[in-house]
Amino acid sequence: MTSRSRSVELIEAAAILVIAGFFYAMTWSFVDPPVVDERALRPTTFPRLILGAIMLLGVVRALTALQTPANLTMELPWDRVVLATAVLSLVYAIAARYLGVFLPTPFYIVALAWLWGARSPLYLFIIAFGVPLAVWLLFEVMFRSQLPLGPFSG
Amino acid sequence: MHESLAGIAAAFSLEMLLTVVVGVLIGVIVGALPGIGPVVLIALMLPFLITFDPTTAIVLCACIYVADAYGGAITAILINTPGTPSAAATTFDGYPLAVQGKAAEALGVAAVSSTLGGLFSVFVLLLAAPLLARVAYHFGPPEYLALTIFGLTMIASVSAASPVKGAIAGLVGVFVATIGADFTSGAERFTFGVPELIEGVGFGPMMIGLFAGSELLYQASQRSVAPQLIAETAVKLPSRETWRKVLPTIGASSVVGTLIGILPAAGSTIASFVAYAEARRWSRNAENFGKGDIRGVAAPETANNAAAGGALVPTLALGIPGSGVAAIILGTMIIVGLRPGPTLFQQQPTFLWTLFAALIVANLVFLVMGLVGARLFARISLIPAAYLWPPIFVLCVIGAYSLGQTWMDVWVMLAFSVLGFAMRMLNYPLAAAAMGLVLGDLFEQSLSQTMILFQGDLSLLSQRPIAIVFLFIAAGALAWSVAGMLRQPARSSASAES
Repeated sequence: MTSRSRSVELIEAAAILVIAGFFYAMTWSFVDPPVVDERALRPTTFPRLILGAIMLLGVVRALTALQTPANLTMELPWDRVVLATAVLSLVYAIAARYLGVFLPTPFYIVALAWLWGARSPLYLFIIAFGVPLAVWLLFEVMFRSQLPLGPFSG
Repeated sequence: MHESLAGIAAAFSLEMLLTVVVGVLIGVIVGALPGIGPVVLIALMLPFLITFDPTTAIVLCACIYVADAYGGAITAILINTPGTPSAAATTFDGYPLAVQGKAAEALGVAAVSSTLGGLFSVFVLLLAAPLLARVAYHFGPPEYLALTIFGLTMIASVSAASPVKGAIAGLVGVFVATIGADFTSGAERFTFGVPELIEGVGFGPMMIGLFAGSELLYQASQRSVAPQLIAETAVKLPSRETWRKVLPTIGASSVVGTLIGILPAAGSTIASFVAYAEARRWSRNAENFGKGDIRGVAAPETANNAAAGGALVPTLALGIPGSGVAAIILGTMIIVGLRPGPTLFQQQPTFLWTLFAALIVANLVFLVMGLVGARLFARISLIPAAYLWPPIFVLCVIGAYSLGQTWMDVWVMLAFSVLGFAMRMLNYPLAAAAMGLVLGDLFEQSLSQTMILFQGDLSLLSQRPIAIVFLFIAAGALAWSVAGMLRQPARSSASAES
């Protein structure tokens, strides 16, 4: 296994071109205000310059990818646990939005730690309840920052 | 004169000494924990830092920065796992020394080398930054335009993965800086009709997502790797014979590290590898390197700490970050109301002298901490990722929210977590994106102002010698990178990118 792969690099280059191209096309949707000074940059100029440069470099990446031997394979650090971690973290953020941060936090911590192989009930208990307590002390008590409490606010 | 004395006196106040000690302690611990670097830590601390006095906030960040490099050496030597990328070169000889039963000596040399390298760079910072700021006071938009181009070119040139990937990552950061209302015309750019994006993408949520959020996903892919402690040992100060052996290396590496740190985008990691390579090259027994030569510990440890102070030179004097960590410190300075650059030296001399004095104290404090607490820090680094990272992500969500009290910042953080992970998978440097974000506004504004100044004729840049020098160096660095790419041998199946 190497860190090179023609197919991965071509997909990468294509993604760069497509995404940069999308945003480049978006610059035509900017509402153009009246020109105050002809010499100044228009709001579309700089983004187009940057996105154009990114697209050009995307082409360079594509050309580089075509020079990569076709027989090389690459193992990406991506598996079901990574996907599950991403999904679980997204669900936690959404849950925190509607239920407040203190309710879903213990469940998230235990679920993710369990997913990653943690099996000690004592340590899981400590972090599941210790972390919300620490967060409350730090944010609410020390720094007086208002945290979202969801249905428990007010 | 009285401002410098007031600043130094402030550094020795109880509050500031406590800040230094806490910053160094956190920096060493975090440095010992693989995956959590100073950027992740400072990003997570942003919600707290904005409530602090600006001087305290920046002193805390700077102390974390200088202490972190040493923290990485502890695990590099004892566990063969660098706590920070800048300690990777320390594993080459540090771990073999530990295997040979000389861990105490290696840790002692690492601590002393780090301190001496750090002190050297702080003195250079003390002398060079004000001088550079005085020169920069005469900079106009054309000079700043050339400087940002130089900075962005360096990002690409020093990128370990590939210059093209470094350039793309840097430009992505610059592009993200264009999101929001255009500063001149007020036209909304890439906001998708979302009112919260009119002021642009928050620096804090982006940093938290790009570094901490992406690291969570990366750690998910690495969870099966379990580190093992090779030795539990007290730390030994170098003997006279060891001093004789390492002192020339420390001297040379201090200079190398500081100079590399001063270059925008270069940073501690490059400094450590260059110093190691040079120490080996100039050694009469180069074959001993990689097998437990004590100079193989002294060189990278001196250089990575020297680079930290060096990176603050362009950061403070020009507002151009000298490294990825310096980029987030620069962003933090802006958030707390301190604008880096020449005016900082005119308007805030007391703050600067407090910072310089605090950095000197910090280097001495982590020497003591390292000598006394290396065993404890090594133990902390063995905390399994499964117990460490879920709470960290909780802090990411809460931290992102509390910065602006808006959930848009959390969604931004999540989006950049995914982007950051994708960049990691494909070997795109995250620090380059951070630096691009920090330089983006300055780049656009200086380009616009230059266009107005020169009536749209950029060829008039040739009349500005300082700008020409920066552009010339940028062109040279770019040419060097392109030449390097073209010289690369045909890819073999056995090669691996660093």
